Amino acid sequence: MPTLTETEDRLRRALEAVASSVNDSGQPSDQAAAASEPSATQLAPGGLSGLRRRSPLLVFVASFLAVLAVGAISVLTMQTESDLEVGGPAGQAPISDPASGLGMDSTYFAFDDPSWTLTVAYTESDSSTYSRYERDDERVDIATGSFASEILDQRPERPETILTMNASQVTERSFFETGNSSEESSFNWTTSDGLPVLVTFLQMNPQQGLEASAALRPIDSEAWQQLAATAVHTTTPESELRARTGEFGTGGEEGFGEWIRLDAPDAPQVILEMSEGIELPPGQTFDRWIENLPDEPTSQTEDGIMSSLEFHAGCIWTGYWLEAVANKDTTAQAQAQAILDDIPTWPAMNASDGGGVIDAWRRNAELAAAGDVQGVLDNLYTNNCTDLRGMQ
Amino acid sequence: MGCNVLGGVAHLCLWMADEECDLTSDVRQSRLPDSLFDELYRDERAGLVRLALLVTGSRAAAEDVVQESFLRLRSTSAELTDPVRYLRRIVMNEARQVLRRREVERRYRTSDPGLVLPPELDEMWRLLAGLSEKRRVALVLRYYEDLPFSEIARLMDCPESTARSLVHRGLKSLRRRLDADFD
Repeated sequence: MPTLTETEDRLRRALEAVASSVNDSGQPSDQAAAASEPSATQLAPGGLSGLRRRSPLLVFVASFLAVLAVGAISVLTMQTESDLEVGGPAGQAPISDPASGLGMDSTYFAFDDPSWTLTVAYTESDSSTYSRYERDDERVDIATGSFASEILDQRPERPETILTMNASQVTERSFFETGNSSEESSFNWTTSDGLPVLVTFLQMNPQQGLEASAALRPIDSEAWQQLAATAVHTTTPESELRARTGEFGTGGEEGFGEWIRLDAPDAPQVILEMSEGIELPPGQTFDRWIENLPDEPTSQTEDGIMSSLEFHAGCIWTGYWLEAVANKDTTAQAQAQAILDDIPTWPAMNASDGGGVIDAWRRNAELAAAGDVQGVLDNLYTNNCTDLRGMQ
Repeated sequence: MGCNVLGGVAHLCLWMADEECDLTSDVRQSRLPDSLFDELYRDERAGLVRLALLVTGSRAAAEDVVQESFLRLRSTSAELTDPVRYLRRIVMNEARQVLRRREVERRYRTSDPGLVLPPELDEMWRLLAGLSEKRRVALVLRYYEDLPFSEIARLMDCPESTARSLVHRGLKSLRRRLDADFD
């Protein structure tokens, strides 16, 4: 299997090759014909002029750590101690200076508290990092970028609701919402009261790390312990995630109603319950909508969901109408027409319509009533009904 | 919220392409002078066509997208603070609409226009076309535009963590598919 770095490089080259088919005047370019015929030279590493590249340092780091990256993802996915090896995967050099938290093999977070030992440090090829510190029976995992996303994906609450630890003046959010001020160091983390946070991001140079570490202010041990405990215990199995959050929208664009976690395991059931009042053609379901539920942490209010379900149903009814026309089934056509006439009155879409949605459905009904099949199809393209189940 | 996932006002806005229902409203604040419009057209058009090409997979569609985007920029009476960002956002919205329309056409036309992909294109390009719209857009913005996750999130109207996740998962998906093709 190609490494992530190789995949990234190949993706960059493919994108650049295709993009180079358009010259600076915006016209197809001879040199490239790239969209159709990327030459071997163009696609060879380093052979494409103007290719966007990462800084040499990042290229070096990414190359050096490509193997580690694969193992890192596995660690986060499997979440078992037995898969975690001090100092990284087998065959890698151990952390050189656990006392100061400075290592040789990777980028990582360091902090100036010798009671904690850095046991694992990985860098993903996208520069995301993952560090683990341990002390006695305590453990803290620190992650950024895609590693952080992986961890957050497993958490039951929306990030905004889980990351506050006012008592310690440290927000867990600090660990995940970072500003990277440069590619070499200095993730600018802050506590909830705006103070610089206690860890810093170090690159591979141990001397550089030592100097940076020496400059750090002492850790607030109490806050750090609390943070460590939270980081260890807040990773909740996906099975405990619930769609109904108990929080409610405040109107406006987000709508009213309870916030629903669309990526929760029970989200399909919740959606089905919500959709019970929306009529569909015979044999049709909201399965397609449910199949498209996101797998990343996503919340939406009940109002927003209902509006989307109504829209989806409108598309399906239009497909049913088109099918009835094609089959010369006048009974089904009349049944569909009655619904199409009613769609512009559907409550959730009316409530959320910022302009144009209801008008488009009204136009859809008029076109259908006039028997204008092409007009209905064109209108669908404008509306972008992506699922007309009855027409498949 | 996800990146315009599954409905809500923002999603409907994307679908409707309605001036009154415009996701770009947050970057409007100062009126665009004619001279600046000409300059923007001259300086930005080619880059926007490239960007739209990478999202839509079709040069013709990309040119239409950019043309439409400039028309919308030209016709807007709103005031703009960052016309380049405004343009880029229109282009992304229009390009994503193209992808969705294509999906509809694929379902209802006997001939499937699909993506206009010459067979000799790089395998990676084909695999990219097979990704979900969101992952594809996120990867293009990350690996062609070299945008930071914060800007990708703004353009896709989603949290930064979601943008990171889309890029990460999109890349992993490509990697798996490359491996499958090797097999």
